Amino acid sequence: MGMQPTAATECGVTDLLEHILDKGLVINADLIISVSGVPLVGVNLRAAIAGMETMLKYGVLTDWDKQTRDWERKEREQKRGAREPLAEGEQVLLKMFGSHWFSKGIYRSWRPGHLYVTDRRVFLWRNSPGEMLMDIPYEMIKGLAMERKTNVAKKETDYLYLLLKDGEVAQLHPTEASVVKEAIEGRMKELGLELEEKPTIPSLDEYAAKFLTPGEGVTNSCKMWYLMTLPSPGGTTSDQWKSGYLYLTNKRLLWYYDFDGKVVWETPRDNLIHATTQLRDLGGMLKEKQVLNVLYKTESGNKVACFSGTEDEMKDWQDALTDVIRQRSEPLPEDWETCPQCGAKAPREKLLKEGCSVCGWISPRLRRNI
Amino acid sequence: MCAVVHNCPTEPYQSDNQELVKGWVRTHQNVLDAAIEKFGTVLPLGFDTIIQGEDNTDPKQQVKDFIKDDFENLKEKMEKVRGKQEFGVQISYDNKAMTDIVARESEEVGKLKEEMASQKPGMAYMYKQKIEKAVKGELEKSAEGYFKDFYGGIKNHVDDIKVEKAKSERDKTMLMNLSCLVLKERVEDLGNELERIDYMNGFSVRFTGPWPPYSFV
Repeated sequence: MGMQPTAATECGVTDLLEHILDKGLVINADLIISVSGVPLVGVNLRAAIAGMETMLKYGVLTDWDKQTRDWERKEREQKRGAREPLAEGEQVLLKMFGSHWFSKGIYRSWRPGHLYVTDRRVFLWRNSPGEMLMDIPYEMIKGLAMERKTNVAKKETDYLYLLLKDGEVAQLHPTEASVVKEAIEGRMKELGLELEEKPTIPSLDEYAAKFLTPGEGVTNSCKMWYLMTLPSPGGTTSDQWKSGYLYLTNKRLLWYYDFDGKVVWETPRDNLIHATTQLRDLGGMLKEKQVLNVLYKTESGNKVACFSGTEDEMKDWQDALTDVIRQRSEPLPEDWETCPQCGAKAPREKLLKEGCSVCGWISPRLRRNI
Repeated sequence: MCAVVHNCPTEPYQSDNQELVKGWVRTHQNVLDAAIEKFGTVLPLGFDTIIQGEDNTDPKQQVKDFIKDDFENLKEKMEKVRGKQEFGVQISYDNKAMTDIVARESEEVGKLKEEMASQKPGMAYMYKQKIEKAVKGELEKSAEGYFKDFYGGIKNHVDDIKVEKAKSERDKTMLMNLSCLVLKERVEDLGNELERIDYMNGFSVRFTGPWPPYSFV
């Protein structure tokens, strides 16, 4: 007595559907009803079946096991999987999920990918769409430092800084910073490359560290002139352009005056009304300069704050602030979502495909695909 | 040659009501079962295959014309499935059991484990990664071996095989999902072969049917 088959009538409905919907004799499409050119068979019952399937123990139709279905395809996929651009003979010592802090112009964001420590360099690669997010040969590295910080999601994690010989700092947020650090140190020792013993962590943004409140994260920042109102002799005031830094965080817009070491002007994001740029003479030699006028609400009525920087930055700031205002005043567009970790708003597609640029959150699916 | 039909509007069957849809597909299957019992060899059609009468022609006439025009082709198909039945064979392995076996038996994994024992805690992470990768590689290798072994064994007892998409569950991986066309007198042989596989450590077999020869028409 061998194994006895389970009769078709006793099989679950999934087995039945699989046979009845997708298979059977195919007859001339001219003869049968079709929906937009697709022969009808099985097409229009999908909705009801999708619900059924999830209820059934026997898996979901879309969760195909790619390994065993088709050996040729497997081969192809293995080839495709090895896309990280390794040089001939380059050996991967460690591969780990991680993010790299990207900062260009006024934009900043965490960009997730896979961190590779190889026998010759450290790089961060994202698979889809394929892009090299960071690429540093060991010869460039001057020192390593680790810091335990509370991220935007109010979780304590370790950050790893690669201090480079050109004075730049690469900020990394790997799953396990200590392991990455150890791997880099080990390899550099093997290569006979020196590392600074106890490098001082450069203050990446020492100003921001002073004013950020718990749960607050910087989304944009850059050097910026601000038209400051100063007391003048005789009880009057005068306006003067001062150099400092403009920051947009997930809570407020503020201008930090490094000369005094404090925040001189700020407004909650919710109080922003309007942002425009115009050409203005700033006095002296500074003629026809781009000025960013920010209209905002205060308890004593609406006020304007004026900032000035390079032409490109002004345009970027106007866009960034206009986005803030639009998102607040209009209901979120349908395809926008809030980040489940920090609450920042972004188009759903972007959030799902690239992760949250503010706190570095990424969806589990993206984590798998990266 | 004849066709079993029923009269319905030329509208696709459509409903979000699961019970209703289940009822429809069960009825479809029951009709096929009855037809097989009465006529023996049947070419099954998919659910919702609705013939429409073109330009006021009678749909019944369309069916007759279709059988007449396609007679040779249909006859050939019937010859292929005559005296045979379709069976579903799904072979899965338990992920944990299989991983354990592979990890225990692989030389490479054993060597890595030994090396890991003498590493500093930080480097141990890298070894853990290496071991996981090695186990995965071994698992794929042995899955390939098992697939070829089982496929070869099953092939001997069947008339035709279709490799269907495999669907895996959380803790079980489906190694193969086959539709097999089997001569009635060979079904027992196939059952014996499957029993051998079902007894193997970590593997389970699902054997369903007989089905109308859906996959071979």
